[in-house]
Amino acid sequence: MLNNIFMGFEHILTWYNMGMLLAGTALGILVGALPGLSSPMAMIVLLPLTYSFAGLPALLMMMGAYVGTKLGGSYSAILLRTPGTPAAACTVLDGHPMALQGKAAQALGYATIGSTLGGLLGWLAASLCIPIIAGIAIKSGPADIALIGLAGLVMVSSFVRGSMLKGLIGILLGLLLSTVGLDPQDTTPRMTFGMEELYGGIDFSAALVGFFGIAVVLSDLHRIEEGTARIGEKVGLCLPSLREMRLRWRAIVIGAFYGLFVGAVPGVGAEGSTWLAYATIRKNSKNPESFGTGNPDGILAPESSNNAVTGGTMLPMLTLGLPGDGSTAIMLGALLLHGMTPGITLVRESPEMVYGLLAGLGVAHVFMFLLGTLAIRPYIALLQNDRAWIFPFVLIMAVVGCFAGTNNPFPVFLAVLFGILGYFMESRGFPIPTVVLGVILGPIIEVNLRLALSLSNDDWLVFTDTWPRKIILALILYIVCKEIFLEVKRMRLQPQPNITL
Amino acid sequence: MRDLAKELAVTGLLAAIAATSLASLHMTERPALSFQYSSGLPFSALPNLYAGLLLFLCLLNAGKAVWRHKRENQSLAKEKKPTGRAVATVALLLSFVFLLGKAPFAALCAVFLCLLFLVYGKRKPLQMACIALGGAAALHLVFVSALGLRL
Repeated sequence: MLNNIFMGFEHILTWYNMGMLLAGTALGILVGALPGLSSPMAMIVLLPLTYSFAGLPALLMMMGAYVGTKLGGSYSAILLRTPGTPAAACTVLDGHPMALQGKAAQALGYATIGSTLGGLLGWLAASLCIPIIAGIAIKSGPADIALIGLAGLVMVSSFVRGSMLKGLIGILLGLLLSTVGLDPQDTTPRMTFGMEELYGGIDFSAALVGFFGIAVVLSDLHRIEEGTARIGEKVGLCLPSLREMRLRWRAIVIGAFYGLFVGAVPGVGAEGSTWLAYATIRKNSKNPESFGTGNPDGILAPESSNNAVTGGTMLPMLTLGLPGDGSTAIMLGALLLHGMTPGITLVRESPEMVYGLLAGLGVAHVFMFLLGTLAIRPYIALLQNDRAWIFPFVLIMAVVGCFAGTNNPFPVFLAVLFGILGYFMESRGFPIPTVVLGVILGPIIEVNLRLALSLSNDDWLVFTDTWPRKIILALILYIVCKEIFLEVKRMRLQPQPNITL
Repeated sequence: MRDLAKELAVTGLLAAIAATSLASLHMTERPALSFQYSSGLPFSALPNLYAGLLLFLCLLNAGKAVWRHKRENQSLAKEKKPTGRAVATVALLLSFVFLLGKAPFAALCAVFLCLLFLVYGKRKPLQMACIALGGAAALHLVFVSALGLRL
């Protein structure tokens, strides 16, 4: 186990890789701090840059951005009462009241230390668990891989915000898009409509840029109207003392615990874990009424949870190829763009990538702490920028990311089309990440499902002939039945309208 | 009512994608030169399954939306601002993509940035020009000069 972790560090500890990780983290904090720009958007912006780099440095840069956005989101939550990322919404509750009391520097200090320690705890737990899960996963056959992919998609559709029905529609759309192009077994063109550009399938960068970049900008255009709040005073950062941290260790540990476990469930992301951590620490506090008025534990717990999620999401992503949230979905897409197949086979074929990324996660948290403590003033100055100046640059970067891969405008037109479709879907509450997950996991499921059937002479019982397969199938059925039951119950419980004449 | 119409329009769009896929798969014939596998699923099995399920779930969602509308007789989601900016953004984006690779990248970026700033309500010409020109130069420096992308 330790050998693998050391191997990871050995691969990333070069000036070049460290530079990429640092640059990604710096960009991540900046993007996270800007309200309206999220972690997936930071990664879409990085996509064109990564084409020129090898796989590991490119993914390390994305990892840095992923980690950095977690802390950046708390800056605007504390100072402007506008969370930079959805996961930082909980930090507003105690962070902003503290800032209003003239303790903004202390609030930022709690956020920085909470994020760093929570992230490192999550990383430590992930480092211990990944070799074990990977060791089991490596023995899986095509039927197991197909079932795990299917289970992941069902879990994602169940846990994403909104209804499971809309989640399933998103996933099916993604799966359908993933089948466009030449059939992987007998090369029959499927849904290509005579366009040769579609023979190779839907370009991953087009799906990523369209659904995560263009659609998000279009959906957030109304926020330009909101304008940008200004921070009147000069703000610095004041870290809590060691003695105080000894008194508040529980908030960090509880936050990290929730972050790790919620992050490990595919498709959930950090939003849920921060609220769970906050509710738990408040419930167990001797002074629960102080929460919401600037209690440091109300900043430490959600921030710790928010960053521990990064360790949690690495568990399904690096071992099973299942993304924990939108950002890890883009990282999986980037793996594909760099010629690697995410999933169970990744640890067998590219162990240096798996353990290198894991090592990068830990180092990114150290960089995040250093950048957060040493360079907080420029970040605060930049977070007051208007979205109207930022969105045009995001669009250009997204378009370049899509165009540069093939030097062909076709994928970019496709991305714009997906952006428009994503915008309409988002406006009606269809969870967009599910579409991208379908596009990414579709080929993995199809290839392995068909391979399993071919190897078993079309015997469908191959999917139930071992205990792990039976358990996964039972889990899929349980989730689907539970969600249908809950949906019917919700519909029955909805109140009758007041009819007025 | 407008809300229901929007829900049905988006669901209808997704259902149309599923129906088009089903029709396209139905009309696809396996080329004579394609590799023939004796066992396993045929090329159209999974896409047909996905499209069929998508169509079914879209119909279910449409039915649910109509049922909820009748039962609640109220708006399902908060109305957002008119989409004029979104339309202008898409139009400019398509023009940008069309000209990418044909016009000089830095000049194209500068014009695109200026026009988008205008669409997003910026009205100070000097500030807009400075940010657009500076930004375009920086983008050219990073992507064309440093990374060597052929733009």
